Amino acid sequence: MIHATVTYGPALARAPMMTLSDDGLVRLTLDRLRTIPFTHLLSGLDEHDGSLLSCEGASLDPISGYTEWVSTTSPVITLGWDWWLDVSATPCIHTHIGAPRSNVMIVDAQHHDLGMPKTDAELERLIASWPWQGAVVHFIGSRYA
Amino acid sequence: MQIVTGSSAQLPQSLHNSVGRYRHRVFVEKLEWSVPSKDGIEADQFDRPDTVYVIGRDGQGHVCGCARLLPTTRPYLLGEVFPQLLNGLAPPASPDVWELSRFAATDFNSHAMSALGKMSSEAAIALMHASIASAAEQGAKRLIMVTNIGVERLLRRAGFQAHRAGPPLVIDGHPIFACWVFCA
Repeated sequence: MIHATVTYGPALARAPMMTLSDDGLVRLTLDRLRTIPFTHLLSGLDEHDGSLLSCEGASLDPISGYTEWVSTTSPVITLGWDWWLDVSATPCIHTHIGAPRSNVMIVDAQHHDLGMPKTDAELERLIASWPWQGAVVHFIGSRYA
Repeated sequence: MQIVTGSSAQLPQSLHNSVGRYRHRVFVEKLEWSVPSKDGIEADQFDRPDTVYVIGRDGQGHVCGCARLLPTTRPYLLGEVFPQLLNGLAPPASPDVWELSRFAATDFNSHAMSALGKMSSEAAIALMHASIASAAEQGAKRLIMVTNIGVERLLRRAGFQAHRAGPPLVIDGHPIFACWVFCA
């Protein structure tokens, strides 16, 4: 389970509400989002066509995939993103790529939508602050063993 | 790619049958979905006279893509089979919401193997645009669809206005989602 800010008991009770709208979006402030625990649901590898990345005379298969996380709240927040494994780095580095996929709309203190581009940017920052790579490696290792 | 739209009554019978065979090849043989099929043709209870089909054909006339549009004012796949994908909300039932299902743009002649590669072709994007346009002609302002990672990636990376409607359901190790797609 991952969350950027640990919030317990009374503090969580004071946290602003999040609402599920008819358009399927969960609307909440960024501060509220940061208090929400997420758990890893599953991860998967992309299949590649066998094209190789050149690396100083050697060849490396590109390794990439996706990962899915869900909140432990009701309504549920879903958050997924793509990643790739830089096998030329030592040790190998999992890096998230592209915009996250979710059902989130971040709102300001007046409950006005920030819009999708800003929401995506905040979600990317949130993801970058999580130590998600270990859960992905563990799951991938079990799934494809 | 040539795109043809219409109901089963409006489409030539041979083309309608070809779509069923293409769907069988994609959803039954390749994706191994547990969906009804008979004599190599995939069809279910939502293939009705009021169903609108969007069909892509290649230069030789072979079906290379398909989509199915259903009004949400009558029974449809998400509402009947996957309502749990809506995060607790009731399935939409409105003239301005149509369901897009059985979306496929798999090019069996392509060697691309990644989920993104298979779904990022110009043909897939053209088929999605045509599906949205066809739904808009029926009065839709939004589409709701059950989709997988590959199609969801296509939607996002091609710039379609879309977002998830709820958390995924994991079937055979693969997540599926309900997604909203806006027609405007």
